[in-house]
This record gives sequence, structure tokens and C-alpha cells, in this order.
Amino acid sequence: MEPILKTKENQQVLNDLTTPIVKTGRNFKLLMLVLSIVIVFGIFAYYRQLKHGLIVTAMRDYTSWGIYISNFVFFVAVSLVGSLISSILKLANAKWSYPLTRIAEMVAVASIICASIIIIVDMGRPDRFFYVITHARIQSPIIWDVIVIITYLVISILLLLLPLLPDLAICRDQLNGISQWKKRFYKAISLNWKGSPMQQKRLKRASSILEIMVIPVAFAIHTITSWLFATTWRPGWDSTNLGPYFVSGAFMLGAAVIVIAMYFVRRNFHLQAYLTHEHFDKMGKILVMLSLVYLYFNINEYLGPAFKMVGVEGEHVTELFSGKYATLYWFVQIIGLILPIIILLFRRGRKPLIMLLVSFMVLLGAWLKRFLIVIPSLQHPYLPIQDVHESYHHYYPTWEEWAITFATFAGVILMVGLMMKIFPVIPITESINNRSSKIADNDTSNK
Amino acid sequence: MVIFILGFIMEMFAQERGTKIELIFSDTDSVKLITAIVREQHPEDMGAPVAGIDLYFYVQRSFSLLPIGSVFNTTDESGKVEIEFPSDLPGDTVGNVILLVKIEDTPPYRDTTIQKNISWGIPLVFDEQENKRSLWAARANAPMSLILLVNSILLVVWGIIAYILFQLYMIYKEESASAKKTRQDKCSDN
Repeated sequence: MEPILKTKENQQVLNDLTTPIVKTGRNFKLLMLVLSIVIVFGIFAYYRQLKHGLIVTAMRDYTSWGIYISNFVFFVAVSLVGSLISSILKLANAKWSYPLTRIAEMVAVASIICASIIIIVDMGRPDRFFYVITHARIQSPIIWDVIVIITYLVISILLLLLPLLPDLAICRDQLNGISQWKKRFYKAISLNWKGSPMQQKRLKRASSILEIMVIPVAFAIHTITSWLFATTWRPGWDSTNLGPYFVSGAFMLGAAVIVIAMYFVRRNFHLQAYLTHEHFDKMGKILVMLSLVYLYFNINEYLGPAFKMVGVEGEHVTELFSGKYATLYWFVQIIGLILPIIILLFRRGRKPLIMLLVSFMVLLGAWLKRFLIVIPSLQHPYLPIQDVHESYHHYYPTWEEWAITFATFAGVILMVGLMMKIFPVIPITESINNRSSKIADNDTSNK
Repeated sequence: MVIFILGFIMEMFAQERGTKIELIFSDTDSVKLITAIVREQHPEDMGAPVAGIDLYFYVQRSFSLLPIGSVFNTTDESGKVEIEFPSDLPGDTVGNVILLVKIEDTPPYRDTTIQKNISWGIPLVFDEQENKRSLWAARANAPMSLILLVNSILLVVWGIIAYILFQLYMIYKEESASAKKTRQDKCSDN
């Protein structure tokens, strides 16, 4: 591994990209502390839920899926970013995107772990999760979802680990002043990587296969999640559009999450030379394209039912357009979708700080959108709600639900943060190789 | 008081009389009739018909007895009573039902029950749909095409994952082996 690090410039790259691993700032420690407190509070809320049962939530017979499921769909959507950046852009030979791959893979792994956790929280009795496996009905989309989530988690971990091997070997061989456990960890996880031609060949082969395979699996995970809704007979879910609608929304959200992560990584780890304005500009273009695709699916999703206004389906659409959920619905459509498109269409709108704000708008809109997908549909069953307790008629999440939901968000940020303290957040080897190839290209053009 | 006690003692020692119920079934133009003739039990001859006694007709169902006939089915002077059997009662797979005829709480006659199998029920046809392979059937009856499709996809995807894990193992193994060989070579050179 040493030859590539011989030049002074490359040594500089190594120093820049491993500084976050070697040094830990006070702000980072403070962030980790705050996140840990949020998680502990969430665990306390979960303890109460385990002790008293799901009655501590606002979920009842009709609204039996609450913000837990909205959150689950949200995190599954975020996890798709791994396939977008690490696979689709890589296969499209978008070389500019290499500094983003590691961030995307970390976010994907953390999100899918939290999505898995939240679905078990929603079950109420976690011990019964094993019945889902032991009494699995292959006809049920729920078991397809369980299978595809486990598969995607394994693939996401592999997608993170494989390109990491050369960097882990660099950390193992080059990093001084790190703790003993970290050294042992790098030694164990770098799998004896020496960069020999045979190792390179095997790694390239495995990575190529994985990059292709992750695309159908990523599409499957979110399509199957949409089928959990589409195969349940409820207004708003009875749609053939739901699969692509979910997938396109997930890609848009994933791109926004990457922009947010990029901004903070760039600023806090002082990586302005690696995550440039050009990266934000290009991610902005990708985000606007994905938002336009999502807008198209949004129109498709609502135009048909709104035009026909048939029965309960009509009531559901009216509730969204001008009823109880109208404020939320129009906030999602305007602030979370249309406004970001307008801002990102302009070059000025694709500057880092503006991109950050726009991405937060998309993120908030996306979470609320999942809320709107789940809750209003459940409150409009085909049979009238009669002779039930008053609490069955509405759904306002309890503090326990909010605490657990915020804990999952904190969990994702904490996991990503910890991974950034262990793994180089920007691929070192690719940065050096990319730099070398740029110099070679310049030399050729000068000649 | 003495009369009351004597009456009570007499009642205690009085013997209840046995009865015999004979059933005749007739099926004319889809009208199914059951005729019951009640006679006193007699060891030698047929016994005298019992008039004015109430009979109770039932059909055995899964969890209880279903009363049939009129509310009161009282025998006439020849000990006869006739009821119509309902035409819409489900039976077993060949249409058999269990008919029960009872004399209950009718002193001085003893409680009597007779039962008979008759094939006047509607044969029960089991819905074979439930046992067919379908999306809504139990997990043991999942459609074969779905089982094959899901398992094929799983086999391919997890096969690829296994292959990638094997490649990682080989990356680890080969370099370990080559390092070991180098060390051995160095030792032998020394």
C-alpha cells in the first residue's frame, strides 16, 4: 500500500482524510452526548410501551399503523441512497461522485438498521418477531418485506465494506496515535489486504457484481414496502402507481439526505477541497431531476381519484385537499416539492448553504408525506366507524411515540457519526487515484 | 300432616311406567313425514297406546339439539303423532342426520329417548377451494408458482452474496498463505 503514498501530495490527502479518525473535536463529542440522551429517552419510552403495551401509543383498531410505520417507510426510503450513489452513479461512470460514495453507504447502513428496529418496535411484542419467520406465509407481502430488508442490510454492509478494504489497510499501516482497539479492529477487518494483483482482481470482480445486484434489490425493498399498502384495501392505497411512486420519492429523499450529510462533513471535518461547490451543484441537478420525476408520480397518484371522487376514495382526497389534513398536504406539496424544484433550477440555488436549506425542506416534506400516506387512509375504512371509543376517531401521536421516533433519528446520526470516526469518510485510495489520473490527463493535454 | 306424609311416601315408592316409541317414516312428493306411535311397555303384547302425551323431536347438530315439529306434539287416542321433517336441514356428506324423539317430564311415564339415523338431510359439500393452492390459502397451500419464484430469486441473490463472501474469504486467505510462504522461504534461506 505504501507506493501510492510516497509523494508529498498523496501524503497530504492521507492526512486530510484521516484527521477525522485521529482527532475528535469537542463539538463532535457534544453531539454524540446529545444524541445518546435522546436515544436513552427513546429507550425509556420503549420500556413503558413494553410494560404497559401499545395502549401507551395513540394507535387503536382503525389507525393501527402510526408514526412508527411512517418512520419505517421514511428510513427504508433513505437507505436507497446507497444504491443511488454507490451503484447507479458509479455504473454511469460519474467519476465526480466518488467522494460521496462512502457517506451514502454509511447513511444506507444506518437507515436500514433503524428501519428494522422501528418495525420491531411497532410490533408491540418483540418476542413475536420470530413467529413472523417460523409461521411465515410466503403469500404475504410482510414476509417478502422481512426477507428483502435482511437481504438489503447484508448487501449494504458489503457495499460499505468492499470499497473500504484498501482504505482500511492504509489505516492499519499508516495511522499512528490511534487507540489499540482501533489498530486491532483495522487489522481484523482489512482482511490481510496488501493490494496484490490477485486481491485487486477479486475485489474488482466482487464490487462489480455487487454494484449491479444492489439496484434490483433496492428497487425491490421499496416496491415491496409500497405493496404492504397497495395490497391492503384502503382508500389512497388501492393504486398500481404506488411502487414507482415510493421508489422515486425515496431517491429524491436519499439525494437530499446526502446533501445534508455532505454539508456537515465538509464543514466539520474541513474537507472543502474534496467536497467542492461542483459536488453541490451536481447533486442539486440530480435532486431537481428526481424531484421532477416524483412530481410526475404525485400528479398521477392524485389526479385519477380527484377527477372521479368516488365514494370513500373521494372522501379521502377531499380530506387531503381541503379537509383536516389540507395544511399538511399542501405544505408537503409546496414546501417539500415544488419550491425545492424552483430553487434548484437556478445555479444560485445550488450553492452549499441554500442546498442545505432546500434539502431540509425536502426531508421534512418527505417525512410528513409518509405520515400522510399512512394515517388519513387508515382513518377512512370502507366500513363506517361506529360505537367505538372517542379515541378511535383520530390519531395524535403520544409522547412515547415521538420519543421513540426521535430516538431512531438520533440513532441514524449517531451510527453515521461513529462510522465516520472509524472509517475514512471519503475514499482515500480513490481520491489519490483520481488525483493521479487528473494530473496524467493534464500532462497529456499539455503535450 | 299425616296425609301429606303418606302422599309423599306413596309418591316415592310409586313405579314409573315405561313406554315404547315406534317411528314410521314416509316420503311422498318430497314431503317427509315422521309418525311416532307411543305404547305402554308390556312384556307380552304390544301394550296400550298412550294418548295425550307430549313428544319432543330433535335433530342432532354439532353443539346442541335442534327442535323440529310443532311446539306441542301431543299423541292422539291411538298414541300417534305426526310431524313434518324440514326440507332444508344439512346432514353429513351423504345426507344422514340423527333424529331423537324424547318423552320428558311426563309422569307417570319414565323419560325415554330413542334415536335413529335417517338420510333426509342435505348432503354436505365441503368447499374444496379452501384446500386449493391460492394466495389467500394457508401457508401450506401457497401457489406452487409463487413458491418457485420466491425461492429462485432468493437462491440467486443469496448465491451471489455467498459468492462475494467467498471472494472476501479468498482475499484474506490468499494473502495469509503468501505471507506464510514468504516467511517460510526466508527461514529456509537463513
